[in-house]
Amino acid sequence: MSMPIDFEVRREYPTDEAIVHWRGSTIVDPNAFDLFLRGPVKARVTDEEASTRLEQDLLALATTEMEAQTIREVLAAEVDPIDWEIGEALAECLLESEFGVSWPWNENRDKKTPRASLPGADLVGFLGEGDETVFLFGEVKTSSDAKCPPGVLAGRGGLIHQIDALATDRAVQSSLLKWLAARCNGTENEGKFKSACKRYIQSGGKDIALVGVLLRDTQPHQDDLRTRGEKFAAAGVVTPRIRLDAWYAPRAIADWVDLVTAA
Amino acid sequence: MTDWVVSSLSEDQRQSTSRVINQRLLFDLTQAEPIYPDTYEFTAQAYELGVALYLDGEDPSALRTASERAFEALRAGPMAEDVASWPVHILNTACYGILADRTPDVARFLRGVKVDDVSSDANWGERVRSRVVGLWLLLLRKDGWSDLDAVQRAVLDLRTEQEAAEREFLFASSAPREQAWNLVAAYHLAKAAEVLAVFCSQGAVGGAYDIREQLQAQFDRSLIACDRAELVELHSLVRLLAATAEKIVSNSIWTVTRAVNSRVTKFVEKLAGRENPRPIFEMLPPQRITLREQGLLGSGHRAVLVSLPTSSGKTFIAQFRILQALNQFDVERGWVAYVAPTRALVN
Repeated sequence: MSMPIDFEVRREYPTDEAIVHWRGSTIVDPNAFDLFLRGPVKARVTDEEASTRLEQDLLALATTEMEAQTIREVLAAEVDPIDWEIGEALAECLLESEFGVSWPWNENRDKKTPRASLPGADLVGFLGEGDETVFLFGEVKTSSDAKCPPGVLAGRGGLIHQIDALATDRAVQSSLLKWLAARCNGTENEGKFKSACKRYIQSGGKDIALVGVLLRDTQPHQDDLRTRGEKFAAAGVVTPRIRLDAWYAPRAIADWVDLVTAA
Repeated sequence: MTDWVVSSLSEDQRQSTSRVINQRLLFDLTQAEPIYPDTYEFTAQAYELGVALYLDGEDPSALRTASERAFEALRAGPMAEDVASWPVHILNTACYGILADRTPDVARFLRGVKVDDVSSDANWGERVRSRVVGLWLLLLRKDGWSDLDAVQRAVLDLRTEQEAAEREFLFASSAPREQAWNLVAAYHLAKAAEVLAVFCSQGAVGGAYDIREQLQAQFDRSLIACDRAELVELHSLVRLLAATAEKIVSNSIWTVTRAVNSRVTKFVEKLAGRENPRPIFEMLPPQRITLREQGLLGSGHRAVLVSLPTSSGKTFIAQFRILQALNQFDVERGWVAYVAPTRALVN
């Protein structure tokens, strides 16, 4: 079992059973939120051994007889995490804490390199246990926009379009599954991969879970998710399972980087 | 091992895919384009996933079977709608064919497809990616020395052009770190291709015979670069190329005939030599299996019967057996009688 969220959360909307499809929640205590950022979230966005590994990477690059100087300059540059990267790490921690979502660990990842936006998903993991395990793919947006819904929800690069694409784009799903196959082979996640994969194939690619996470530092308002959330709720229990989650943080998004990088 | 990926597909999905594959094979006769069922692409992707699952495993037979399914389905599939992804699609298909021990079919397949070069105003990242895919396609086709020479030339060109193009590209990029890792992964793939091209033509690289170790080092570093930036698609391609390169080494005429005797070595040098208008760099799977895996070149065999279909390389196998026998009975001044039922077979 995963660890429960150890800070107070207030459910804001909706008030009916549609809460399984869309939901807005406020993180109440700013001090507990700070601790969460400095603990599990910080561990996901910082890497003490990055410079040692980079030297090994550059030594290996020399064996290709290609010039390494420019690549060294780019990769050795000091880069602080940016707010949306912290948002992705925060979303991972929240989903892990609340729903027991597990993330196949990539021990070689360079945490200073933002994840590629395409093709793929911000979040790639497993939801559920045993034969009930399904793939969970998700997208994360972080926004201080005063408008409800915020601009990051709409348009081609918006959260809603990305979730719709993840639900139907078999080529992207196929790429993610091949990546996960390599990631999980011979690890503790092999069983989960097999269960989720069987469900995926038997359902023609539909039995997966999709989650859109919206991270805000504004006052909670159901208009952030309502239009699309009600549509998902009206469809009932169908595959793929889609859920929209808005989290309202007690600290300004502009301060997240300082909070995470503070000693 | 039960192939749970395939058994997770419905009977209807598998059968309708098989029907299309069969119709496509008869296209030359019927000129009738198959009608692809809605589930075709999904089934082909499941077959590809089956290969991905066996790439790190220790079950060569399962990998071969899974690769054969993927090769058949992709080869018979429709052209990709996304033109940019077409070369990688072709490369994936050819890799599955090599892993399925279908090298003659792969050569035919590659002769029948056209892959355009990336446009000249493409940025350095796109050019490197396109060039690397192109040189691996050449390496898989190996249509004489020209393909192997072209691979080595392309890698040299990359080194020459890098200085002028890479810096401008990376510093203008909105995602310089991701692009830098993309380049690192591609440079290791280019080096692996260069090493393999040299090995295919000469049987050694820089006087060393540790070809597998040299290749593995490059593929491992390419995979790490993919991991660093989570380059999902490239990671899958690198894994596939690593397994394919291993297969090419196993099929190489140098590997199959290594450490037999000097007569065989001289014969192989002549077969792969530049003076040969149709050089032979690798064995067909039945030849590899007969000569290497079933030990036909061992001196212990007194009588050998080889039964293979027409055009699968029996005479070539016999040539090696003849050389081995001449070497074995050199002191006794042994000789060989080659008996054939028709004159045509001797010409």
